[in-house]
Amino acid sequence: MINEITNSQAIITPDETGNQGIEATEPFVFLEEIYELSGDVNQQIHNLLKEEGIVTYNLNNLLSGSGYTTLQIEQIETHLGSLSENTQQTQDQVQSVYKSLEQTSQEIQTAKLGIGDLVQQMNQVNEVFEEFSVMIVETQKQFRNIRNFSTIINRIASQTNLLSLNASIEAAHVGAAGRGFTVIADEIKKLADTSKKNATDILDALNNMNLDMEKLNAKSADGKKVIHAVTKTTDESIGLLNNIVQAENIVHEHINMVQRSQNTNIEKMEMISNNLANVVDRSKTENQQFEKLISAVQVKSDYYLRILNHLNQIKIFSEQK
Amino acid sequence: MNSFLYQTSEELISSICKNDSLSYVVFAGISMVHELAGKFGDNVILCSTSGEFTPKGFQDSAITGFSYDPDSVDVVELLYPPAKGLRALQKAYAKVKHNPNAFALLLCDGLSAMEESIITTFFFTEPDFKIIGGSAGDNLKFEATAIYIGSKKVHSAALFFNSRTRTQLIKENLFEPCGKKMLVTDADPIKRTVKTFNNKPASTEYARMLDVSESQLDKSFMSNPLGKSSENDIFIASPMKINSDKSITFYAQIIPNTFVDILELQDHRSIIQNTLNAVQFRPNFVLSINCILRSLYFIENSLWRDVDAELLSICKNQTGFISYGEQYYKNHFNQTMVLLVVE
Repeated sequence: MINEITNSQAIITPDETGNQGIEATEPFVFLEEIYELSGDVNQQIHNLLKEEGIVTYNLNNLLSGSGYTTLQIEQIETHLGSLSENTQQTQDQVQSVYKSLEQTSQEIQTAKLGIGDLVQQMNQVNEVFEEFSVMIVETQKQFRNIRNFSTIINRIASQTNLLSLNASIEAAHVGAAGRGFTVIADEIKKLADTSKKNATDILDALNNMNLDMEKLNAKSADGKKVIHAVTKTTDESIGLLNNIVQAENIVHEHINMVQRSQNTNIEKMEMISNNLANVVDRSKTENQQFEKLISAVQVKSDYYLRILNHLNQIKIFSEQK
Repeated sequence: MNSFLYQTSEELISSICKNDSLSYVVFAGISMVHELAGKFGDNVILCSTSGEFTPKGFQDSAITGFSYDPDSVDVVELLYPPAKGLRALQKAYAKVKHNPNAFALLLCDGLSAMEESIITTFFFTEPDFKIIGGSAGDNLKFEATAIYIGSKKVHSAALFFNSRTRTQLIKENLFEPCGKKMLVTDADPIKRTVKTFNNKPASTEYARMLDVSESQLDKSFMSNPLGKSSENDIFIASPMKINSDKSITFYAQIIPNTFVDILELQDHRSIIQNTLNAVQFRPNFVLSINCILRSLYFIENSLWRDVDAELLSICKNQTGFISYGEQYYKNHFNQTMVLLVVE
């Protein structure tokens, strides 16, 4: 537009065809100012083109970046798919763990009952042995009695020997005194009565001991039965405990499976996390690029403002002309 | 640079006559400017306002301004279009361009929507060259503003100060983005009109974003203007009116295919504190230019006294005016305060 403005305004003069010709008037005074304004317009347009370049460059970066972001998101989709499948698997395995824990719980309940019986039986054993103890004490008492009696009998026997001796001695003094023999005979009679009684006592004691021994024997049989039952119950309890151990092993195996499944999940999560981090980084870079774009837009507005106002002034010049 | 405050034209005239070796920039209401027009030589610049900021704070219908040494200042008349003054601007700039403390003070016509054209005419200046300005007002009549260089009425004016002491420009914005953005999908920047946001009629979409009915949208304009982002800063574009075709006309240009933030008001106390803390040295002179919309908000909420106290606390030698727009470096915007701080 500026290049078309000439240094003088033409006035049209007639030619052979009758058209109006052109003749010059006084020059437009502010031409230099207009040239300067147009020079600045030119400069601002160059500045605009530079900013446009920044915009285009950043848009191009954003476009290539969007491909990268799409790829990351696709990978996240894939990982999420695997994660979803694995999560279902993990859920099933957890269900198995739950069931096997239930089983273990039942086994433990059963074992509890069995061990309860065992404890009861052990109590019975305890009672039997307590009775044993009482009986043995009784037997000991009888034995002591027998011993005492034996001691007495020994004493009697000793005394009887002495009396015999005395009788012999008295016999040597016969005639003078039949009295001595009577005394001795009385004494011997007493001793014989005592001995008889002691022998009866001993027999009683022996009888009692015999009874006690029989009781002991019977108790011993009872004890054997109880111990047999205890042994059986113990064997059963060991069986129950083995069941618990087996059940626990199954739980352990299921938990291992869950753990392996979880490890796979964790790996997938880490991959997703990496993808997300990449997306976030990319997003930050893109945000910066968007900010540069917005900033370029605002910078461009300053150039546009100058251009528009210069052109407005040029327009005013032409209107005033 | 020394500020002054007078209540009558006679006081001003008398003072200027006594000190005619100095030059002056005078801020006063439109009626007062017309009264003073023609009474001074080229050493006096008159600028009509919608209120004044004086050495005693905000006043309406006062006469304030500042005097300066004319030897270090070039005054350039800005014509319509402003590019007509390009040579003069370049010549004035050439004298100060190596002085990092130099600045240009713009006084723009507030009703011809040419501020952006004026500011873009400074395309030849370095990006860090200080430009501060305000759009003249006419006490909310919206009929005609007035700027005079001596007895000549001009469209706008630019004063290039070759300051010998340190200077600093500060912009204060009471608004921040509320988190909602809109894309300007169709607009006519020269007419300062936005036709569609997010491909929907402007008023419809603006109302939807603010969660108000379209009929009540204009009541939200002052509290929720739009912000344009540029180089980590926000520049406010205040809506002016809703047109019959649902487009919205603003007090500043908005470019299509850009994003705008919906803004909301923040606590002015902490913001003003931050502004004052940003002053890098003990100032000897302060010039403030406050947008009319900001002033109306302060008036409605009886806040001017507090603001006066804060601003005057850093320097008593202050002046300024209430404007229809503000300029700061190569930007024009609204609902803002711009400060020139001189050591």
